[in-house]
Amino acid sequence: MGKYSDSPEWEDIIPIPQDDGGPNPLAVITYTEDYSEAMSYLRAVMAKDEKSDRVLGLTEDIIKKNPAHYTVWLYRADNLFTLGKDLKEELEWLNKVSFKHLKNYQIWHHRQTVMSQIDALPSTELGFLERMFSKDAKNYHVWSYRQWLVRRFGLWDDELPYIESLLQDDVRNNSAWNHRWFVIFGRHADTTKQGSGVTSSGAKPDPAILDREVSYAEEKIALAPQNQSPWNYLRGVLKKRPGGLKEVRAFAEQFADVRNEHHVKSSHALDILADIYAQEQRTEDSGKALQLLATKYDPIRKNYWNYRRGLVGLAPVQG
Amino acid sequence: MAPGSGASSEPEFHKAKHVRYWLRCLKTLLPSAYESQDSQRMTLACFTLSALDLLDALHGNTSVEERQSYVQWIYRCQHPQGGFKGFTGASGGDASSHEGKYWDPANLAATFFALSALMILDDDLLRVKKIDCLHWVRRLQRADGGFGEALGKDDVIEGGAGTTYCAIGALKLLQLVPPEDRDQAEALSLPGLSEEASRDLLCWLVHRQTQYIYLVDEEFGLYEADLVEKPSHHKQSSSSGSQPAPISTSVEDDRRAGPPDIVSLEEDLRSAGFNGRCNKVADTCYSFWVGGSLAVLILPFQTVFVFDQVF
Repeated sequence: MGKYSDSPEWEDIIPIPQDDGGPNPLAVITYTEDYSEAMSYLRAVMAKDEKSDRVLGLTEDIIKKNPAHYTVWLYRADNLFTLGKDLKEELEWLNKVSFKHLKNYQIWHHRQTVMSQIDALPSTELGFLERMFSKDAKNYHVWSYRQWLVRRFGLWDDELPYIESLLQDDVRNNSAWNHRWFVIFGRHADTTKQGSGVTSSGAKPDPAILDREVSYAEEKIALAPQNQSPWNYLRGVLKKRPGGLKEVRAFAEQFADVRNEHHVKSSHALDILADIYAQEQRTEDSGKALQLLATKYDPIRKNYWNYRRGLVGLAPVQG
Repeated sequence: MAPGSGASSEPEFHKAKHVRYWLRCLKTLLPSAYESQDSQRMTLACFTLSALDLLDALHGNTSVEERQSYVQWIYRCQHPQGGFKGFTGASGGDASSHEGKYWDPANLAATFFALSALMILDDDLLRVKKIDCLHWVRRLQRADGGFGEALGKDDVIEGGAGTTYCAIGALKLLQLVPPEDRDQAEALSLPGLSEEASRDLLCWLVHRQTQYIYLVDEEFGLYEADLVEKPSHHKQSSSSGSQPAPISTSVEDDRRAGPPDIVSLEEDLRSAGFNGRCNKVADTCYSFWVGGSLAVLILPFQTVFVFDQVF
């Protein structure tokens, strides 16, 4: 018959079949017999809210078949905590599941739930995340979890060397750029409200750090001028400095000369120069940068660049 | 493309085949590979109904009785305390103890899709537990302004990914649900969030969007009520946090730092579209999220992209 119906361990349980009600339920799935049986036993133990080792085994079985099942994870966590299980062991098990289901987010929510009950960062945790990132350096769920981990254990000062190594591997890794922003500036704008409110904007970043970050972004832009990530980062940092965008005019002009349309190494340089020239009332140069973007260097967004020309009072370019 | 047609002919939309596919999803069993989607059956249901509706093929291919039974199933998934569940598979029925009911909660994404599906089916919505649902959605809002997907034991807000879109969508759709009790309904100011909660939500969205870089600063005025209508100085501030895929033409690049991402103009135009994050490949779903978000926000950007012709 089945794994559960044949097992003496489960003989006291009367499985509960799925009940869709009327004649035409929606999105009906051809369940495999194994899944269907396991779910019937899950419904039965959930209904009486049983907490036991056999439930942990059953939830593991279901998670293997359907890791996106949102309540089986909650039920499992409740079992773990109620039974006082070794949470480090749970993490080790989760590591294996995580590698199998890279895009699943319930796993990461569960990891966070479990880690919330652990007082000190386990020494293996960062190594595990590193292995996850070696599979997919831009995995959104893993990065979200890492941000939570940084807040939870106050890892603000230890992240930069790791981020640096990721950017050495791939300077276009926007997730690594984002994490850099988070650990340097996010600590001053803690959005979790766990501490002092929606934003604790009182703390201003140190000017020396702002200078360092401008230099860092410039260094990385020089490696690959058409890489959008450090240009975005640079704009973000400059918004926090009194000098604003025009501090990098000379730097950006190395990558784009609006007077010589053949000498353009980066559309992002043209973009930032268009803003800088507009701020400096050099409307003609600003318009020229936008024209080059609209016609030659980024024509897919022609309408957008023309819209920007409109903002500085110029007519759209045709063609 | 039709057999025998030349490479230069326009791509053809095979409406009849699409209709056949979706009717198969609607009226027969989905394959076992969908097992891993079991708890998102309401989402699949809404996609199926919505696709047929968009193809103008729902009412013509289903009887009144069939549509009534679909409605019936959706209401079967309504939680007794408001909101909708994603599937029937966690319900222990009459055997469920008080504690056992924790494991069969309403789910925010399912609620949004259930309300959408009921409207597609022309239901009168009179059986929607409007007030309970509204209260429940409000309770899902986290301290940081975003929304979780379900309430767990002791009302702990569960769910890690961004279901905030579904919260906003559900609140918006709930406005269309007739009041259960006029006096009670008037006492609750729809769309359902207090001024403070709305502000927190807006704050959360802004933080999510451009990875903190653009909008989270004093200069931009984070708490301005008209915030979402004014991102026009920053092309990166599209509402879903997505950006147009990096498109380049003849821009030179130094290849030292990684694999080349610069291809010819022709190749670029063929791969134009939207991605979810900077430096990732374009993905059709983001044309939907970005285009849809822009349409909702009614930004001037509605007309500034030409992506639709080339993707």
